Amino acid sequence: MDIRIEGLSKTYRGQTQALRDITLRIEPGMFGLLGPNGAGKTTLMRILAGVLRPTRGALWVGDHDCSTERGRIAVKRLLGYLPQDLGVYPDLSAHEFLDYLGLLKGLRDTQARQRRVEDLLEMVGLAEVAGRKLKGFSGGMKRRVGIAQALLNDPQLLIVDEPTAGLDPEERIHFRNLLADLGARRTVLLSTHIVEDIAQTCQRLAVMKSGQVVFCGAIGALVEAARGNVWQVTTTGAKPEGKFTVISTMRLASSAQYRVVGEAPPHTTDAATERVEPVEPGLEDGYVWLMREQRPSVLV
Amino acid sequence: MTAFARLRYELRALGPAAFVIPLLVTLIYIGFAWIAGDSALRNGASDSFAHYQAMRGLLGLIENGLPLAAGLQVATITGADPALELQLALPGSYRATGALRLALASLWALLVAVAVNALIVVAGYWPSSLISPTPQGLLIWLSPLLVFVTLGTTLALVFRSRVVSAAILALLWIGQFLFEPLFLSDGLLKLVYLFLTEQVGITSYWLTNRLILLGLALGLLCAALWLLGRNEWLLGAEA
Repeated sequence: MDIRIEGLSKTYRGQTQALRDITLRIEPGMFGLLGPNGAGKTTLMRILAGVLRPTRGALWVGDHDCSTERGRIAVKRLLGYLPQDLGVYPDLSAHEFLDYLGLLKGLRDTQARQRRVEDLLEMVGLAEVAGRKLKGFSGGMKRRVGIAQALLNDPQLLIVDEPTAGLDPEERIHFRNLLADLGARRTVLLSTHIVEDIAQTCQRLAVMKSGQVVFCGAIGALVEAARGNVWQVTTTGAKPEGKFTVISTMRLASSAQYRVVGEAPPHTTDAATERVEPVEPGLEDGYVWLMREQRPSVLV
Repeated sequence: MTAFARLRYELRALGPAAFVIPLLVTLIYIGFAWIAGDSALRNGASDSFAHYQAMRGLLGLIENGLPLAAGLQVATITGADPALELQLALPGSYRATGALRLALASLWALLVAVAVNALIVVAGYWPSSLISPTPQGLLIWLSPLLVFVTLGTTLALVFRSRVVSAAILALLWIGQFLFEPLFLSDGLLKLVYLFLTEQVGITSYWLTNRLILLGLALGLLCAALWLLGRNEWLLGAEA
């Protein structure tokens, strides 16, 4: 299911401009949406989910025009949505919560709905605690309930906003694999500020900053953008300083290794600096390079 | 079957407090009414005075105790839907879900009030010399109950905070007692005084007062339903 966004803007009352003239095309499969906090990702997700209305612009999901009420409702029927702040009814069990949302999503056949709920609980590994009240669930268990509810209606479009926030490493890997599997059969829009989640699951992504899309394309293209601008600095002296961003620091026995992104390599005249060498860029390097550069006209 | 399942889940989503608190308030007021009557007798008052004291306590329960409890409950329910964003992304209208929950919480308070009303009549504490128990007599509690319920909902939606809305409701409730002379001395304010029966009795403007309160409740209900359809406001995105 294709998503076409043209000239989309959102201004909240009080004149806060959350989105500025966004144009995007999202094709079936996994698509990542990356950006710092406050970039406008959640507003865009909410508009796509029909929760908020844009101030300006056009939005098509498949054949449905989301500028109309009928179009928004039609999209909601095809949609699975996991919001960033997933709230649950604490006095309901996981099974009851899913059954309730299944009802609200229009799954009227009781037996088929119950089977679907049980299958999803099994899929997210919560079958054994299905009868336990949600107020006793950990953050990770609630996120799993969240993904299960998003899949209740076997959606053609799945929108997940920061799905791995607060999960432990094992749960994050499980979630990423689950999303990648789901992306094989539908359009999955993954919004996050965790670069690793995108790198491991998506082929294409958009990067947002200050309400604008500053990059849209293949992951490889964003990685390539940083080529020649990523270095590894090994030094026994102080942390390198200059016009670059330190991506990571690794303490060794008698020295330290820094991975830096910048326009020019760090100075090598310092006696304590043992080595400065260019390295292969990764998605995180590309993202940081883009955030430093902010050249939307060049990269979009 | 589907409708029944939906109702069952909506009741569960309200939480047990929505059902327990009106009952607790009833028990507390009945206890105070009994103490008021009993202490009057112990202090040498006549039977009729002790009966009057107990009657006032029970009238207080239906006219100001239950309405406050119901108002606080719906404010809590409306001001804090934990799964709001999920609800807003569903094909159905959240306004309908909000209205259904409001109706269920109000219905329970209404049922408790009817039961207490019947109990008061059966026990002989109804002021039958002043007004018949039904149907006009029901306005003793129906008008303030609906005002508190709809006001609680509207405040919770306006401020998006159960604490703020509960505090305003509590202040309004206390203010009715503290500023009673002010309310009753003003030609307009006395028409919206909420606890007229218990504090003053059945006066010449009592029915007008009750009907105006019902109209006020209707206006507040319209405001609440309008706000329930504004997603941006509900999410706190509309400053």
